[in-house]
Amino acid sequence: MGCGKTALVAALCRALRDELSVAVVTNDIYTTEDADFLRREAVLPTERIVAVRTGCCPHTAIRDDITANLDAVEDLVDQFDPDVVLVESGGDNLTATFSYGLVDRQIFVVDTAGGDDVPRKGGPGVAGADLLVINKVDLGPLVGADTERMAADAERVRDGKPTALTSVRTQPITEVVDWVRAQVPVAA
Amino acid sequence: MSGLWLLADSRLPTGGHAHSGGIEAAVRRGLVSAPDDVAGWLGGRVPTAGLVTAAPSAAACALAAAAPAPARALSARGEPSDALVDRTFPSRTGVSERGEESAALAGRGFPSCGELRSPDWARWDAAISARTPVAALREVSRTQGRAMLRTVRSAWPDAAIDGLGARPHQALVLGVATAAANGSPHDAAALAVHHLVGQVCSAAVRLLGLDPLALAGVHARALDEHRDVIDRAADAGTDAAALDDPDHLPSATTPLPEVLAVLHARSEGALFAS
Amino acid sequence: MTPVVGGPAAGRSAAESSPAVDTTAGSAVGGGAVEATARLRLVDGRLTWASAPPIVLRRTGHRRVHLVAVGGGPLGGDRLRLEVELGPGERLSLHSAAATVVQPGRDPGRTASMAVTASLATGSALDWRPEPTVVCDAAAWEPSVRLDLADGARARVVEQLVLGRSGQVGGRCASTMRAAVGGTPILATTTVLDGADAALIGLGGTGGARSVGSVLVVGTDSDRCDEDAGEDGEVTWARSPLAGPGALTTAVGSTRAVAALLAREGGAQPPWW
Repeated sequence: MGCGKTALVAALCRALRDELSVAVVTNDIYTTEDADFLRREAVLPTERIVAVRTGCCPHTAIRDDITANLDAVEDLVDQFDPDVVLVESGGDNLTATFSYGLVDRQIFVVDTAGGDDVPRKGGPGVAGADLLVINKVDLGPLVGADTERMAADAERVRDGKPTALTSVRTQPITEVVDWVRAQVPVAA
Repeated sequence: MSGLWLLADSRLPTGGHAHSGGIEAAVRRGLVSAPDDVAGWLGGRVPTAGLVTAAPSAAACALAAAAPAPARALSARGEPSDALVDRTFPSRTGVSERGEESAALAGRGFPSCGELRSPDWARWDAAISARTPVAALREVSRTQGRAMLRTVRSAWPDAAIDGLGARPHQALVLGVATAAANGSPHDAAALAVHHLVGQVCSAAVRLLGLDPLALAGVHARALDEHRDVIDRAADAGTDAAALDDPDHLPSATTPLPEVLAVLHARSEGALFAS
Repeated sequence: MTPVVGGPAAGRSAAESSPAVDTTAGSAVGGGAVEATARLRLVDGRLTWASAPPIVLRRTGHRRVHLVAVGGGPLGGDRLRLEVELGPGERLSLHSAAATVVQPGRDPGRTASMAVTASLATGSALDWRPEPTVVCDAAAWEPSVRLDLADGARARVVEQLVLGRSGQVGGRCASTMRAAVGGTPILATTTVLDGADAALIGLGGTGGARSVGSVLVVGTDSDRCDEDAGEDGEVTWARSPLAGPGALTTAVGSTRAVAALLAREGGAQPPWW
């Protein structure tokens, strides 16, 4: 919680919306808060942001039973034929991963302030995600987190897959944007 | 027969985990605090809403058992993960898209397939709509029907789904799936009740932190105590199918859950879709 | 007011004034129970009716008729019917003179029923607003309303059920509403109540409330047919569009609060009247 998923989605929308057709599905276990945040920030037209209710099962909704998210993605595809749909998960722990029945690529976000031993511990999210984002690196010195060690630990468990160090709130996320762009055929 | 175990499994990926069988609205109003309250909710709902969804499930099973297999098996979601373009969305390959209420009424008379004819699903779909006066609950039923249709296409490619449309009521898809899994109309009715009870019990555990073991007991007792509902639904559905007349489907409801369903649909911050 | 063409004068019985309509007098069906069918017809501006005790019809105004129950009851075993027919473009407002009190009768467990059927031709309109029905302890009551509307016809039905007189828990009730427009069914629902049944009086039923009200509008979706809902300590209610032109409002709560809600939601003449 609070690792910056919604802020990353907002930043991606802002960076990509002029060159690609983008839509967003949010999964939020409490309210439609994330969708409301994105709409308030006006990163995309309101109708391109859909909120999904997961019945207190955010992990189930992105992995074991992707029904509600598939419905949302299919509706967005029907309506807008977007180049990319960003699906933001509602829950996060180290074992929360997306089913590839729902997504083509997944980004796992960890928070520098959550402890610099997280990448070393690995787990399906850190090890398996197509892109690992270590966010809030600007807070590293403040919370005593060694971000270089985090990046090195990540490299060890990620078998050559990329890792990006970001401070979404304060710095451009060029590396992440470029990676996403490279995954989308029309943009590449 | 073994396919029935899959249909009964709450892990069947058809989106059921996002629905509370209406009990979230009662929980949020402080009306539910113990397993007995959950049993009480079921005591009102199973013989009414449960009967109304179980009977068309049974009817659809009977109708599907006599229907032709679909001409083509639609591709299921099994593409490799790097298939970024030309992704197949099975639920978009159905007959109609939106405006089901009117489409269902207008789309009568489906093409026949040799001697066997597909059931006139539009009439059955309309009959379920008529028995579901709350628009929000019709929408919930169609959302779950669309999801189950996706699962059925993947798990039972030969199921008699032709003519059901893109967003049929869930009861019809459950009946068709039961037939595809070689189940009986009685099985279909039992599955409908089992899933209603399961959604309510599971949601109560998640919303209130109730003891899942106690709720397993509530679930088992509800199925036992309401055997007659399943029997009646199976009989009514089978009879209606034999007469080819959805007008013979039973109707029954209780007022507070229906009203709460509308309040739930209009509320902010609900955790469950229904 | 437009003068009525034809039609009997108010207060006279059908047998005297309307030989064109056959009268089905109440007849015994065993155990003292009654089977009776009353009829009411408004075609070409001509209002005709046939009372069938215990259902007696009284014309009380221009395009307005009241049901007057005679002889007490209904009692268990009674099977009452009222058949209404409106010709093209006709409008009829139908009321009851007093609350209906359903008693168990001699034979406990026997169900009393009252079936209202209405056949409404193109452009006609029916407004059926009976006084509340009280279902006494040990009584079993099965009222039904069946509306068959031609395209362009409209109907509204405003009803209130009360479980038990004061001090009672109330009996059993299964109230059915069916509506079809142009031959297509758009509503078939049966509300099940039982003041003596723990499940049906509990949160999966009425939530402890003793009264349930409904406003059914069929044939138009312009007149308060959008979704709406509300709740206070006294009444919980919701209006929802049907799967066709129309809406059903359901209210559950105290007798007084439900009555107040029905007066608000279904009180004034609808704009299409």
